[in-house]
Amino acid sequence: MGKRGQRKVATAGPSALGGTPTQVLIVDDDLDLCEALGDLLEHEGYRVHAVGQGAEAIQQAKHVMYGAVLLDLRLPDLDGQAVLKALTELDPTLPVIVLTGFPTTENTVRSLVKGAFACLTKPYNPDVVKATLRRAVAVKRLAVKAERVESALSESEERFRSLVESATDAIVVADDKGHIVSWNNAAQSLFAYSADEVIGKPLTMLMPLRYREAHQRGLERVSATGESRVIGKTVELHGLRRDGAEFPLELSLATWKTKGGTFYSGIIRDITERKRAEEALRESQDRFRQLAENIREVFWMTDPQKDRMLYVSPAYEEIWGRATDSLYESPRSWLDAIHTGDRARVLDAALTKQVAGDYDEEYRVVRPDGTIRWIHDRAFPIHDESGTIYRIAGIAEDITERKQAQAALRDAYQKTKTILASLPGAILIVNDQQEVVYANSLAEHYFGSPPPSLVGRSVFDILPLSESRRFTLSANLRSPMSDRAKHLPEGEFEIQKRVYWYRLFPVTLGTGGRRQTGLVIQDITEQKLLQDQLIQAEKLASLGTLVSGMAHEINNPVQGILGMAELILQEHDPVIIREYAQDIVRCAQHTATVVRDFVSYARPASSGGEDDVCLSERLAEAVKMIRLGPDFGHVEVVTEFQAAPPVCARRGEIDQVFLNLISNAVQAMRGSGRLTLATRRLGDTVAVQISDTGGGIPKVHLTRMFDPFFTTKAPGRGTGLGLSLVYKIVTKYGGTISVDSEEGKGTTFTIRFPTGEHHKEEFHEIAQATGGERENGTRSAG
Amino acid sequence: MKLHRQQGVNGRMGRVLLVDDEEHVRKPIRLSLVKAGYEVVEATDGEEAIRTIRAADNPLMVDTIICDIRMPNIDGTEAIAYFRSQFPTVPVVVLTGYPDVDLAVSLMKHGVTDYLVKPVSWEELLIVVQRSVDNHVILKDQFVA
Repeated sequence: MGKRGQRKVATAGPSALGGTPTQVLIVDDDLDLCEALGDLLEHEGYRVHAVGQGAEAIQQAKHVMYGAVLLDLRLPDLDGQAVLKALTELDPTLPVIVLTGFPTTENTVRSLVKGAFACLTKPYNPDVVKATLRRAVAVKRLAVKAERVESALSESEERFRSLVESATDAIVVADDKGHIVSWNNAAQSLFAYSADEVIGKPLTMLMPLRYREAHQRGLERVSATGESRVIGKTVELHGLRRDGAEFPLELSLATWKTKGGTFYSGIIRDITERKRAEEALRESQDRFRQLAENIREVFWMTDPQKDRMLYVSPAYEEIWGRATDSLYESPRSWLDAIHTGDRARVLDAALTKQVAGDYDEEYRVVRPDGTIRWIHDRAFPIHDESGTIYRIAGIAEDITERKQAQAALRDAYQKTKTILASLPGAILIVNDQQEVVYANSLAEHYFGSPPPSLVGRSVFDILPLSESRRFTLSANLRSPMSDRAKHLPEGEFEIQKRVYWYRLFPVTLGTGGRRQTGLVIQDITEQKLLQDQLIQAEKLASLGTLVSGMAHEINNPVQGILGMAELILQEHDPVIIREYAQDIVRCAQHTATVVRDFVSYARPASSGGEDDVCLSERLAEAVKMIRLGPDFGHVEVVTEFQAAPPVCARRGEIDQVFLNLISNAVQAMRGSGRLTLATRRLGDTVAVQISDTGGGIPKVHLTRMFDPFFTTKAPGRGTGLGLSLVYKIVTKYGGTISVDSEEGKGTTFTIRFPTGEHHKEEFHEIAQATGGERENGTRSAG
Repeated sequence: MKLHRQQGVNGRMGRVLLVDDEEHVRKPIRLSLVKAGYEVVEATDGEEAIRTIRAADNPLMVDTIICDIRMPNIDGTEAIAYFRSQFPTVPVVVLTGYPDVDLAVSLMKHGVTDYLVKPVSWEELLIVVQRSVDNHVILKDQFVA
C-alpha cells in the first residue's frame, strides 16, 4: 500500500539526496519565530520554507519533497493535529516535529500517536531543535534510500510480472499451503476466474474432485520430505473451469524457497485442441482398423514387387480358409489357393495390372476343405510424395453367393422362358397403356403373323373382342386385379373360324411394384367341338334311358293291341270281336297315358323361364320315369317328404339333376335295394337327399366324380358328363352338393338349394363370383 | 309237313308255358296258341313260372317257355337262368318290351332260343314257337326211345 506513495516521492525529488540541501518546512503563524528558526536552520545548511497556515502547509507538502517539517499545533486556520494527520498521510516517512507553546501530556501523546517524529516545547532550545531535526532528516534519508532499493526490486518484479501477464500459458503461483498467490491473464481466461476471485484461495478449486485428494497428499509429502513426483516434470491433467467444465491441460511445476516459505509455480497449457487432434487421429486409425478387420472383404496391402505382404485383414482367414500369418510369411501363397484354371491369368494380371490401377479380376479359390469360393479382387497403386508407387492396396470380396444367385436367376429366367415358350397356351402380358409387353412364341404364332412382333402393339388391335369383353379387359388394365383375386375374368373370341378362350391373370413386377395383366389364351376350337358333341351325347343318353322306359310301357299294350286285332281278323262271332275290341281300346288308352306322361316330363318347361319348383314333386316324377327303365328291378322306394318351400329354378334343369342322381342310384343297386328320397327345410335352404343301398363309391373316385368326362362306366354306357352337369346346375342356383358314400353300404347325395325370392340375387352373385370353383369340402364329404 | 308228322306224337301239338305279368299281353297269345292246337300254361311272374314247372307231373312235358323280362318278384332274367340250369332241354323264347341288344346277346349266350321284341305279329311268334316245340318234341322222342 505504501509503495504507491513512496514511488511518487522518488520520482518527485530524487535530488533530495544528491548533495542538494535538505528542505525543511516551518509551519507557524508567529512570523518572528519563523524568521529566527529559519535563520538558525539555514545556518545549519537546511533550506527553509515557512508558512503561516495549515492549509498552505499541506498544499506545500504535496509539491515539495521535504526532509522534515516543524509544525506548530496552534494555527489560525486548522487544528495542528489535523495538519499533522494530513501530512503523515501524504508521506508517512516525512518526519514531522511538533512545536507547541502549551505542552500538555495529552497533546504530546496525541501527536506522537498520530505519527509525529517528536514533540518540542516553546520556547525551544536551539540545540534540541537542531539535534532533533538532524535525527529526523537522517531518518527520512534512510527511508528514501530504502525506498530506492525497494523501487529497484519492484521494477524487476514489474518486468517479471509483465512477462507473466503477457504469457499465453497460464501461470499460477501458490504458497506451501496450496493457496494461490499469483494469477496471470492467461490463467484468467483459461479458468475464467479473475485474480480477485482466486488469490488466497486453495488451488483445489481449479481441479476436478478426483484430483483433489492426490493433490493434498502431494503437498503434504513435499512439505514433509521435499520430494515430489511432479516437480520439474510436465504432466497431463484435467482442469476445472469456473463453469464446471473440465478440460485437458498440461502442467509444468516448479518450486522455490524464500524466507517467506516455499512457493510453487505452475505453467498450465490448455491442450484441448491437441487432445482433440490426437483423438481424431486415433479415431481415424481405429476406424481404419475396425473397417479393415470387420468388413467381409479382404483388405490387403503389398509392396509393388508383390514380395512383401504389408497388411491383410482377418477376413482372409474366413474366405481363403488360411491363416493370415501364412500370407505374411509367404506373400504369394494367396495364389496357391487359386483354382488352377484361374491361377496363371490372375498372377499375370497381378503383376501387370495392379501397378497400372486397372486390376479387376474374378477368380475361384479352393479352400483347404475343398470348397470353392468365387473372389472379386481389385487393386490400385499408392504413390508417395515424389509420385513413385510404393504400395499396392486392394480389396478382395467373396462373391460366391452373388455368383450363385446370378446363376440361379439365369437358370430361373431360362426355365421360365422355356416353359413360356413350350406352353400349349399363348401368353400375352399387357401394360396399363394396353400395349403388349410380352408375347410367347405361341402367341406370336397365333396372332403375330404377319410381322411385326406383337410386342408394342395394342392388345385390342390383336384380339377381336366383343364390346363387353373389351370393356372388362380395359378396366382390368387400368386397375389390375390383386394377386388374390378369386374370380379371374375369362372369355372367348373367334379369329378366322377358330375359337380362342382366354383368362386374365395379375402380373406383379418386383416387390410392391407395378401390376400388369396377363392373358393366357388357348385355341379351343376342337375342344369346343368335342364338348358340344359330348354334351349332345349325354342328352341323347338320358333321352335313351327315358325312351327305353317308354318303349316298354308302350310295347306291352301294343303287343296286346296287335294280338287282339289279329284275332279279330279271324273271328266271326260279334260278341267275341266286341270283347277283343274293348281290350284294344284299354291298351290304346294305356299307351296314350304313357306317352302323355313322358312328353310332359321330357318337354322343356316354358322356355328359359324360372318358376317356383316343388322339389318333392319333381323327385316323385323323376322316380316315376326311372321306374319305367330297364334297371329299376325290385328297388324299394321310400319317400320322406316334409313340407318345404319351393325353389326358384328352371324345372327342366332340376329334373335333369334328379334324373341323373336317381338313375345313378338305381343302377348302383343292380335291381334290388332301397331308394330313399327325402326333402326337408334346413334354415334358409331346402335339402334334398337321395340315398341308395348300392355298392358305394370308391374313395379315389370321390374327388373326381364331378369332373367332366370322368366315368367308371364301360365305353358307350356313359359320357361322364352326368354328374358334372348336376354340379353345374346346382351351383348355378347357389346350391351346394355333397356326397357321403361307404363302399358296400351305399351312397347319399345331399343337395341344398336356397329358398325364397329374396335370396336369389345374392346367390346368383355368389355363383358368378365363385365362377364354378368347387370347394372340395362340399364336393366330397368323405 | 313237320307239323303233320309231329302231330302223331301223343295226339297233341305240344305244351307252352307263357310267362308275362300283363293279362292284355298274355290273352291274345294264349287264345292264338290254343287255337293253333297248343296246350298253354300261364304264369304272371318268374316265381310263379318256376313253381308251375316244378309242380308239373313231368317237367319235360313243357315244350317251350315264352318269357317276359320285366316282371315283379323274380324277373325274367332270373327265371330264365333257373330254367336253363334246371331244364336245359326246354327251349326258352324271350318276349320283351325292351329292344336291348346287350341283354339279348347275354340271354342268347345263356341258351335262349330267340329274343323277340314286342310287339310281334302272331305269324312271327308262331314260327318261333313251332320250331322250338318241334325241336323239343324230337329230343323228347329220342330220350324216350
